[in-house]
Amino acid sequence: MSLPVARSRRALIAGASGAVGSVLLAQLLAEPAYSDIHALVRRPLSVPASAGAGKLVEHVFDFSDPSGGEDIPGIDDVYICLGTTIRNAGSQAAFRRVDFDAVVTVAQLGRQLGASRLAAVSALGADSGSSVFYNRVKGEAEAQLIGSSYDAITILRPSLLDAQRSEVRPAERLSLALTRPIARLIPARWRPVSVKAVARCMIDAVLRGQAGLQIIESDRIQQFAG
Amino acid sequence: MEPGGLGDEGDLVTDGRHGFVVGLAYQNPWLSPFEEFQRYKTHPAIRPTLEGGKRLSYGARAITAGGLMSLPKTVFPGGALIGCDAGFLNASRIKGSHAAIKTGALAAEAAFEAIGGGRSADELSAYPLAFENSWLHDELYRARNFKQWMAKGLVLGTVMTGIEQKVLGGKIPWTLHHQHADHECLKPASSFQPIVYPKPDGKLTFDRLSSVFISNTNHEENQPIHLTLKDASVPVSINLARYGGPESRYCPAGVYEYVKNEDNSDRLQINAQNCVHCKTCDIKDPTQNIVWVVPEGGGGPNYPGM
Repeated sequence: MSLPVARSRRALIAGASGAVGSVLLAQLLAEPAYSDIHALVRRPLSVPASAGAGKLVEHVFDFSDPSGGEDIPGIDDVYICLGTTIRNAGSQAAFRRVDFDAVVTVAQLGRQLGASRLAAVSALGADSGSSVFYNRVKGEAEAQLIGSSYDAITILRPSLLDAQRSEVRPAERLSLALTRPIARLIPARWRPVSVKAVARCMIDAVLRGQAGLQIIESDRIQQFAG
Repeated sequence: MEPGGLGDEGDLVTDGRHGFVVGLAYQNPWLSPFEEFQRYKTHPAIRPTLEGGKRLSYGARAITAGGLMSLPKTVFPGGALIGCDAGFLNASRIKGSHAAIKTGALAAEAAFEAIGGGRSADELSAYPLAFENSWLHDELYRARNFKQWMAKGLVLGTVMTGIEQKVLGGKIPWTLHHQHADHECLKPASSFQPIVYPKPDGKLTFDRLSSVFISNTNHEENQPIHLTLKDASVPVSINLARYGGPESRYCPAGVYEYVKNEDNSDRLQINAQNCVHCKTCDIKDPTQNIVWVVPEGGGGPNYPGM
């Protein structure tokens, strides 16, 4: 039996300037299964001219306008690593516009562009019934993604992210300083997790393409460290 | 191997069987179980035993080695799973014939009773109950952690199996669970150096196609292909690009071949007529894109003397 010629896959990434997204973008550019990486950005990225940089196409995108992005060609897989903090966003409402509205907008755009697989970074403890605002918004965003019509949906719930950040997140810095030395003593689900592991886990899950919903907790993500 | 034994000097081995087992939880997509077997035969401790012999037949099979912790529900309306390949194999002893005979007998007794009671097409629930009260369950329960320990490495696996089986006599107060399905274990091909296997010499080591030929594998022509794909684009775009096309190596019959189109693009060719029904592709395909459906009746390998 002979099969038709198969073209390489095309990925769409949102949040490529962030802690997980910048590492994920580098890994996607190096991944031979992808021929094109389309990044939705507010401002053009400054990506170093590394291997695979020629695969990158940037699209300046207004995340508050769901009608944009129609000029992007067909997409196979969507990667969402959007997220901020309430402090950096300025208010709870502004936080929600990023961690909920923008996530839903990108997921819908991906479907319009023909994508069948989606992976998104959520957070440990995401729960739409939570009394904690952050966890509730993350949980509500998850619920929207789960309700979307992708064939394969992967939601990652990493613990505290261990990353090189350009922005300042004092609470994260303090938590990391306290937990790094005793990381091995903390149960794997609560231990800080490297952004490289999160990115590897996302690509692995999307390319394996298990149909239906997969929620990956931080202990499982830890296995992609190293 | 029988009759005689490997390395028993003085025995006249007239017709031997020689096997090699590769755990399918391996990570390196460049690994070829078939080539590992060929290379093993050239080991100085093995070569003298086999040298000068004639290859009579060849076959391959996936062994269900997960043990009691992997055993599925064994009955369904009108049927039952029996035999070592249903999951009753004792992997720590690589023995399953006794388990096959015992589960066959237990299922037969339950079926005899059901038919005597005028029942049909319901679940044979007496069979799994009888298994749980049998010596076979006791034996498998004592060996339930074997593969899980071995997955943590040969040294720890050997030590812990020794402690569990010899020191504790199988009375183990803890139970380990399997962490990964075999198809989740492959890592991207770029994480490893490709393995270069020696060329076959035609005397001690052989190529796959001539081996498959003497497995007497046959499928009726013009039947629908029994190895199907969920998504025809995935083999090239993911399996080949990311994992280096592992199905071309793990298949012991050379069923899966990546070949070039005229425009130099790749495509996967499936030589389903060569399939020896080992089911490795169903187990190991990293994207679980290959769906093994039952071929037309009577097709498959026909191992002489095996």
